[in-house]
Amino acid sequence: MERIMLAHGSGGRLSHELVRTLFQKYLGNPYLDQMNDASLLPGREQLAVTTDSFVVSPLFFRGGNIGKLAVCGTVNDLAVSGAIPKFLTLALILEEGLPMDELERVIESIAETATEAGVAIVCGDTKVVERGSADKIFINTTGIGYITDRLVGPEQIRPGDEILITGTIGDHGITILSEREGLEFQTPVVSDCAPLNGLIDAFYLPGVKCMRDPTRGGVATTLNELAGQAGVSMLLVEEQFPLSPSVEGACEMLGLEPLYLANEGKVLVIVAPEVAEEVLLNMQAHPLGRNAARIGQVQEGKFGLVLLETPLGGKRIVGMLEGEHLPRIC
Amino acid sequence: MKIQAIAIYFNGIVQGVGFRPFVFKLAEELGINGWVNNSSHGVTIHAEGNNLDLFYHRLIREAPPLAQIVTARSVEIELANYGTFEIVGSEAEEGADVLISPDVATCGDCLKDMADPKNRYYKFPFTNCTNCGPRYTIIRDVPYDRALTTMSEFPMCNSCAVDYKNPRDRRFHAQPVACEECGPKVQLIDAMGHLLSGIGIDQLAQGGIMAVKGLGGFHLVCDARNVQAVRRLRERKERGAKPFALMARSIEKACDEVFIGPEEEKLLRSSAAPIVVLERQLKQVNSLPVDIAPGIHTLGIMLPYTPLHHLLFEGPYDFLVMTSANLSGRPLIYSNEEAMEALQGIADYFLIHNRDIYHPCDDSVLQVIGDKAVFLRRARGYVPLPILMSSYQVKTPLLGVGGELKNAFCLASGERAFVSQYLGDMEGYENLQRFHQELESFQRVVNITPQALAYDKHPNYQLTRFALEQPCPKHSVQHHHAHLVSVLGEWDRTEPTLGMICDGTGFGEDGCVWGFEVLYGNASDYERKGHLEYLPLPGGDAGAKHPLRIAYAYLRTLLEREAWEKTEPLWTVLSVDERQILDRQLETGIQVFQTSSAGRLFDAVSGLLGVCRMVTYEGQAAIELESVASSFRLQNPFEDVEWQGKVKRPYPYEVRVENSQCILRVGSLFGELVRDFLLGVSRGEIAYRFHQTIAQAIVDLAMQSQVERGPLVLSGGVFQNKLLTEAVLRICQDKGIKVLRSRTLPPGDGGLAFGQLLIANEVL
Ligand SMILES: [Fe+3]
Ligand SMILES: [Mg+2]
Ligand SMILES: [Zn+2]
Ligand SMILES: [Zn+2]
Repeated sequence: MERIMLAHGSGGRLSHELVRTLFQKYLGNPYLDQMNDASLLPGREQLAVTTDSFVVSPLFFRGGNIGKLAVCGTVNDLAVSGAIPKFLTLALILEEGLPMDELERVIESIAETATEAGVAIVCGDTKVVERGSADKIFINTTGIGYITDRLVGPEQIRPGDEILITGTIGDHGITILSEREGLEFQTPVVSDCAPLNGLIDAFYLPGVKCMRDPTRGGVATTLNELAGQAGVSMLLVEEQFPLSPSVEGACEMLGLEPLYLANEGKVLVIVAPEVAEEVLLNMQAHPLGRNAARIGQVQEGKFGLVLLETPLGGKRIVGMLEGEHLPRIC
Repeated sequence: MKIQAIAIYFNGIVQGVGFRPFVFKLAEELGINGWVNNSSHGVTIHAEGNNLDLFYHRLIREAPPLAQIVTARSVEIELANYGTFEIVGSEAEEGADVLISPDVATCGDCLKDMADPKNRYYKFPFTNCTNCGPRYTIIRDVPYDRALTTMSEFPMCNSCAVDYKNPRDRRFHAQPVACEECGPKVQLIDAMGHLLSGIGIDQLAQGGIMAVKGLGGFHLVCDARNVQAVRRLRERKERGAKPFALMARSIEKACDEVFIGPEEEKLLRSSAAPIVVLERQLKQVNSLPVDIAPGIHTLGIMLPYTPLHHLLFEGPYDFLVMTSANLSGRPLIYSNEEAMEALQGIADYFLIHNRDIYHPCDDSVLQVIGDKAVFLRRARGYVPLPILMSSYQVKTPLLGVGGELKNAFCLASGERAFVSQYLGDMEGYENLQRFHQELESFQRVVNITPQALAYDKHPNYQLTRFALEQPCPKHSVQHHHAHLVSVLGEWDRTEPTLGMICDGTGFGEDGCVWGFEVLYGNASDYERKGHLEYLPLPGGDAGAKHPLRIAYAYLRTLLEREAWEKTEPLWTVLSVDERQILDRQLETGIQVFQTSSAGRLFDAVSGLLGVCRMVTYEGQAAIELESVASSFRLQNPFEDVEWQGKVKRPYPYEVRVENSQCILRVGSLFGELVRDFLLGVSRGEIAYRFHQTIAQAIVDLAMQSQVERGPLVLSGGVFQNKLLTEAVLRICQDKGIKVLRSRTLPPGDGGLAFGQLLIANEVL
C-alpha cells in the first residue's frame, strides 16, 4: 500500500507527482491548471490568488520566524506571478500549551511584515488542537493580488534567455537545519526570509519572462519544473552561484548541495538576453538584491534537462530533489 | 589410402587475424585441395585429400597468434574433386556471430619493415598486417571488412592491393593495410594552428607538451625526465595528484626504474600492450621525477604499441608521459576537431592524423597481484573479447548497465558476454553521453540487441534513472551481490559460494552503505553472512574526500572516553567549524551515513596517519596508504608468515556473532593503532600492520562463515590493493582455502555489469 511519506512534502519529485497525479487529477480546472505560484482569476478586477501553509520548526530562527515566513511566502508567490499583493487571510492551528508570548511575537511579526509588504490581513481563523496533535503553531495564509500587465510565465521562456538569481542561495535552508540540529558556525547563517514585491517592482522590465521563488526543493527543483514546462534545457555555471561562505562551508561539511536548499527571500528570474544586464543592475541597486548574479542560460532541448557546469568544466545533470543524497564513491 | 572430403567450421576470433592464409599454406603443405572462406559464422573449409585428420588437428594446434577458436567442427561430405586449394570470396549470412579482435600492438615483422630503408613500409606510421594493427577501434559494423571500418576513406594503391590479395603475404586480407602512397597521413600542428614538419621529436625533447592521436584516442605526451614539462602538464590538466602513465622505450630501460617480474614482462610484451603498474626501485639518483606519480611507490608503464609510438622513440628520451587526453571528469578525446579545441591551452603541439577512431578506447591498466594479472581498467587490447560461459545460458539478450563510477556495461546472449571498454564516471554528463554512444555502437559490433536490463539498486545512480525510463523488463541488483557473481561467472561456476566483497560503497538492502561484506550465494540468491560493523560517515561523499574527518568520526565512535581524549593532538588541523559540526553531526546523526565500507576504513587510517588528508582522485587515500606500507615492507625485509615480534603482529580485532551474522569489530584495532601513532611508531610500520590485520580479519570472517569446503571469492575494488590481497592469499594458502579472483574483468566496478546481468538472467 502506498502511504504518504515525508518526501511527499519535501517539494521534490514526489511532491510534484502528488500534485499532478492526485490534486490536479481530481481538482483540476483552468485556474488551478495554470500551475503557477498564484492562479489568475477572472472578474471585474483581474485577481491573483494563492495559498500556503507553514509548519516550520523551530518557530523562531535567525532572520525570522513562522509568522514572517507565513506572510513572505504568500506575498512572494503573488509577486513572482506578476501580481501586486493586496490582501491576506490568516488561519492558525495552535497546539494546546503554546506559550502565549510566543504567539504574540509571531503575530507582531506578521503585522510588521504585512506593513512592509503593503498587504492587509483581511480575515482569519484559529483552531486549537490537543497537545501532540500539532507542533506549536501551524499557519495557513491565502493571498489575493491585482494582476498587472507583467507578462510572465514559463510559456514565455526561449533558448538564449538568461537565468538570474537575486542573491545568495541556500541561506534559509541552512539556517533552519543548523538551528534545529544545533550546528554552530563561526559566522552564523541568517535566513533570507523577506517580502519580495518591492524588489520585483524595482527590477522588473518588459523582457523579464518568468519569475519563481525557489523555496522548498531549491533552485534545482524550481528550474527543473520550469525547464519541463517550457520544453527547454538549462545550463547553470556553478562558479557563478552567489553563496555565503557559511552556507558553502556547511554544505561542504554536510554533503548538501546549495542548489537543493530552500530560500525564502530570493527570486529566480528568466530574462531576455537584451535586458539581462539592466535587470541585473536594477536588482543590485536594491537592498534585497545586492548579491544578484547571472547563474546560467536557457538552451535548446526538449527534455527539460538542467545541466550544471562544474568548476573543472565538466557538466552534470541536476535532477529534482529526490530523497537524500546517498554516497556513491566506490 | 582413399581420398575423402570434409567440411570444417571454425568459430571465434578467426577473421582479420590471418586465418585463411594460414589454412591456405597448411593445405598446400599437406597436399590438400578445396577452398576456405569467411562467413558470418566464422571460417568454413572444404578439404579433400588423404591427410585430413592431421590437417584438422594442425589447424587447431597451430592457429595464428591472434586467433581464438571457440568452436571447431568437422563433418564428412561428398568428394568434389578439386584440383587446387583456394581462398574464395566471403558470403554474407543472417545472424552473424563472428568475434571481433581487439586492437593489437605492432608486431616484430612490421617493426623490421619500418627499420629497413629499402622496405616500402620504412618509417611508415600506419603499417600493419594480419598479426597486428587497429581492429575494434576502427570498426563501424560487422562483418569486419575494410568498407565497414574507418579505413574505407583510403582506397588501396596497386602495390597494397597486390599484397592484400596474395595469400602468401603477411598482409593478405589485413583490412587496414596501407602504405605511404595510399594510407593515412600525420600532421604536426602548433598551438597557433601552423603546420610544422616532422612528428614532434624535437619539440618533445625541448620540453613541449604534445597531444598525440593514438589507437583509441589522444594522449598528452611530454618527456618524463623533464620536471618542468611534467609539472606544466599537471598544472594545465588540473589533475591534482593522480599519477601519469608512462611509455618506456624498452623493457630494458624500464628495468632501471621499476621491478619487472616474469608475469609483468609477459604483460608488457603482450599484444594488448597494456599499462602495467610496477613498483619503483628505491634509488636516489637519476630517477624519474616524483611529480609523475606523487605520493605513491608505483609507476604505470607501457611499451610503444603503434608504429607512430615507435617513431616517436627515435628521440633522445627513454620515457614519455602518456596520459589520456581527457579533461577532468570528461571522456577520452578521440577526434581531431575536439582535440584541437578542448586541449587548447594544454597542448603546445598536436600530432594528428586522418584515420578516424570509431570506438574511443582508453589504455588498459593491469597489475600483477599474487602472480596473476589483475585488471585495474579494462579497455584497449581486451575489448571486445567475450567471456565464454557454458554453465550460464542467457536466453533473453540482456544489458547490464554497470555502476556509477568506472563504468563499463555488458551485453550478453547465449553463452557469450561482452563487457564494454571503461567509460568513466557516469556523474559526468559527457561521460553519460559517451555511454549512450558506445551502447548503441557496441550492440552492432557484438550483434546483440538487448531485450531486458539489469541495474544497481542505488536510487541516485544516473544509470538507475536511465534504466527506469526504459520500456523493457528490468531487474535491480544489490551492488556487492553483483561483485560476487561477476567472479563466479568468470569462472563459469554456478553453485552457491562464499565471497568476501570489499569495496568503497554500495547501496545496501537495509538502506545503509555497504562495503565490507561476507556474502554467500550465486546468481539466483544470496545471504549476507557478516560485515564490518557500521561506522558513521558524516557528509557522505563530501566527507569521503576528507579522510581526516572519517578518522575523527570513527575514533570518536569507537574509542573509550579516556583514549579519545588522548587523541586531541591529532585534530589540530581541523578547523573550529569542522570540529563543532562533526561533533553535532555525530550526536544528532544529521547527514551521517552508517557504513560498513572497506574503502572508508583504509581512508580513515590514511587520514589519521596524515598520509592523505584531501582526496583529489578516487581511491587516493587508500592507494597512498598502501604505498607507505609497501615502502616500509621493502625497506624491512622479514618473513611475513611468522607473525612474530612487534612489527608482524596484527592489531587486535573481534569477530562477534550478532543476529546470526559475523560482525567485524575494530574498536580495539583503532585503540592500539592510535596508541602506537601517538607513541611515535612510524607511519610505515603502522600502515603495514594495518594491512596485515585486515588481511587476517578477512580470512577470519570467511572461516567463521564456514568457508571450509569450496572456494572463497575475493571481489570488490579493495582487492586491487596488492599488499592486502597478497597477504590474504598467503593466509588462505596456509589454511588450505582455495581462492577465486577476477581474471578477465576488474575486481572493482568495471566488473559489476557482468554480475548484474547474470543475476537478472535468473529472474527475468
Ligand atoms: Fe563496487
Ligand atoms: Mg505556494
Ligand atoms: Zn604486423
Ligand atoms: Zn598503398
